[in-house]
Amino acid sequence: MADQNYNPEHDRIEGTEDPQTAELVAYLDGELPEQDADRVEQLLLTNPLLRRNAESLDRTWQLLNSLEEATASGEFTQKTLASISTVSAESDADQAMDRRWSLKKRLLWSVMARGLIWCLAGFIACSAGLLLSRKARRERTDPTAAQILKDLELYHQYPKLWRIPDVEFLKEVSENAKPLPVTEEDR
Amino acid sequence: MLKVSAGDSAAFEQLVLRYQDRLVGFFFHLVHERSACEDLAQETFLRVYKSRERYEPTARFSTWLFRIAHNLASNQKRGAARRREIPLGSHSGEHDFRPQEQNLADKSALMPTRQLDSREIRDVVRNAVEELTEGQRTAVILHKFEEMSYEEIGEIMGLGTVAVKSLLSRARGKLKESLEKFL
Repeated sequence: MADQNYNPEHDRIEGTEDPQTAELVAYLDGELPEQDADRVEQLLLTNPLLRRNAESLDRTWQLLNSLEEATASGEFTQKTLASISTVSAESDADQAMDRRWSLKKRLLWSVMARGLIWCLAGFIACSAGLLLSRKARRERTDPTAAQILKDLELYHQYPKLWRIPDVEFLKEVSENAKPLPVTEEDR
Repeated sequence: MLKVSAGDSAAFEQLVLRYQDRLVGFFFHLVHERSACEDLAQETFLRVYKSRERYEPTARFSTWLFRIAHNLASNQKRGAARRREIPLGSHSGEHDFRPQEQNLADKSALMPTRQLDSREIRDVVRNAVEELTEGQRTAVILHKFEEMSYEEIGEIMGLGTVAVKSLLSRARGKLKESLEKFL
């Protein structure tokens, strides 16, 4: 639209876009900014070829009014709403099925979770039992514990043995068969 | 539409009543067959209903509605091209006139002063519109019959305003070329 050498033949080339036509069409469609629209109007006043092209484009556009138009038939609304309610009912049924399936899934998960918890508890109990029995066996085979058991008889004799004053006395008893000192308790 | 999103079925009925003629008219310009265009309009409303919970009022409802309709028409066109069930215009070739209309156009070209009756004019114009590409035809229908702006057409067709401007410019250039002998 910048110059006045507009050539309408440009439009005849299939598939090419003439920027002048594009701007003219945008002007006719009321899509140009005010400043550009003013410029196009000035050009239309001074360029008869451009004006003829604009008139031709406009008249062609008006010819589209002759096209047959259609509106919805009388049953369209009812048919559409009926199909919507069918879809809606199907959707509700699907949702109900989804809810049932979801409930079943939750139940299954709950049973599986409980089973898992019981298995885990059993495993922990078994492990604890095994650990305790191992510990007990280890205590039984502990050398310190074995020595204590061996010396148990000696501990039972402790009330008698405490009367022995010292090791020298025991040596003397062993060599001379000296009797143990008699206490009030012996009498 | 917000009421429809909230599950108000009476609101949906109002929506159907308000937009059914526009939708049927839009599809009729693409399909030219009443039962097919009503099926497409019904399918559009069905899709609107199914997507009602996803609707966000960021754009005008009519823009959203016609975007669904446009996608449906495009899918149908691709499907019809494969199945050859519903004719959505004739664009298999550059000169894909139907014989009767070609004959009419030739006769009219030979007799430019002959007064065409309204039916003949309608057939010639319809033929010229069918000669447009699918995108051009959709843009023309939305602009001419739905009085939509370039911006709205762009939102519906997933194009920028500049692309719509170009599309409509080419479409009107082609229409002028096809119809100027009948002006």
